Amino acid sequence: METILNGFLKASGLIVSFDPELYYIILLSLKVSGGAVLIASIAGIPLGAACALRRFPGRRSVVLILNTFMGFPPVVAGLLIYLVLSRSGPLGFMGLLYSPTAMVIAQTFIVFPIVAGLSWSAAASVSPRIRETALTLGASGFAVDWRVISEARMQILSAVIAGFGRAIAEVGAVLIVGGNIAGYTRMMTTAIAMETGKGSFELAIALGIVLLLVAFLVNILLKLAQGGFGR
Amino acid sequence: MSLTVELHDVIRIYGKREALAGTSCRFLPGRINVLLGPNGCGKTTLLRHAALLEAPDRGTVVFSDGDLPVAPGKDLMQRMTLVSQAPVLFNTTVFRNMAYGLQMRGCEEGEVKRRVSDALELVGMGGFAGARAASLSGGEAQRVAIARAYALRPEMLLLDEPSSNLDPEGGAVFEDVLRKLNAEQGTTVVIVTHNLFQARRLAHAAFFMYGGKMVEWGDAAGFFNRPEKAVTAKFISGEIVF
Repeated sequence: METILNGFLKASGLIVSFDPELYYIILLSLKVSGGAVLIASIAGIPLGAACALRRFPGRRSVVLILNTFMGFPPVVAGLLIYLVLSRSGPLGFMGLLYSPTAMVIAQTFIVFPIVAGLSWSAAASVSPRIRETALTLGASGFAVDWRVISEARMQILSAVIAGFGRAIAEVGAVLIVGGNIAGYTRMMTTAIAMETGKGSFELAIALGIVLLLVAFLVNILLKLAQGGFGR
Repeated sequence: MSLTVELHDVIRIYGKREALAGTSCRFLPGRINVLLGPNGCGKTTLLRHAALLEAPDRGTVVFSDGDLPVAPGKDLMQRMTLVSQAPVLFNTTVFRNMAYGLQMRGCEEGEVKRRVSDALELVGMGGFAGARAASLSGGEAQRVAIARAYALRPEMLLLDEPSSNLDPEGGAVFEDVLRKLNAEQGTTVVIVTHNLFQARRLAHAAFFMYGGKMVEWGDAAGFFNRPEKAVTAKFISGEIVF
């Protein structure tokens, strides 16, 4: 119990004193996860919406693959990205392994199916009467699709936030492809795992508190996107 | 001249049910056409074909403006609109709901504001432009849907039991809007209603559907006072027909 209390006290000290190592780790985590979610959203939302609104060959297969990959184990994703980026892999010549870029790629791989799959679900759940009403009001082509997507905007925002929640809490893939290098690829989750292993709880607890705060913030945003706390 | 629609031997089948069983008719351009019939006789399906939301399995749906045929497509869709029984409003403000169709037609911002404001005033919803559509009652939402159609000044207006959610005052306002639109714009109106009193008040021409077919039609006076078919006479006298 004393260890935990001491850990909390020292962790609070690190947070309020703006410890450079702590804040570098937090900033890098936000950058990597934010970047991954941004890329996944740019590609995933249009793909999910297209699968819901358009008929094209292979559409059902795409949805099936997205749904399957939504539960893809992060360590396996990390392993695959590692094999692709390692020196003997097809993209080894780019020298990306053990870099923040590699971590962004790994997290994008994990988050993309979540954002795309949930965006598909959101757009597909919009009543067909919305589309018909847009048509009877004189809309056509992309304007009709945009109307449907607009109706699903809160659920799509929820998809993006859920993706961020998954990314920021992820440890396996970034550990494999990032290497947990101090001051370069050390993220909140990988640092917590390492510091706990060392028995050095101050930084681990401080990062744990920040991670919990981020998770809390993500949940608040998710709740607001789903219609607030009034229901 | 006014836009109108005619159906030639239209057949539409849902599963094993024949919703339209060789329906033929021509609605009078520039007039208020009332479409009557018991539940399930194909009235809504007919309106959906006229609104180009569905295509027939067999037969043809033809649009014309005077003697000139009008090709189906975006331009035609922008010359007409449909108001359904259960109003569908987008999840945004009343103003944006009202403005949507006008913006699709390329109206300028000032014109959009003016038309939206006029239409909302007309249906007694003047103070509701900034309200969220989701916060409206069923009757208020129906008034907005009617105002939205009025603001478009369509050449052809299709209405599927539009006053079923309205109280007597709302129903009277709706009928005034319809008459105003028809008189000022020459809009061809096709309205489905179960309210025979409303039908008599509004109709220039009346059409009776039964079993997926158009059984009888004609000018309102003749139709209501001297129906030719026994089933039509039973229906308009208030007897149960099914």
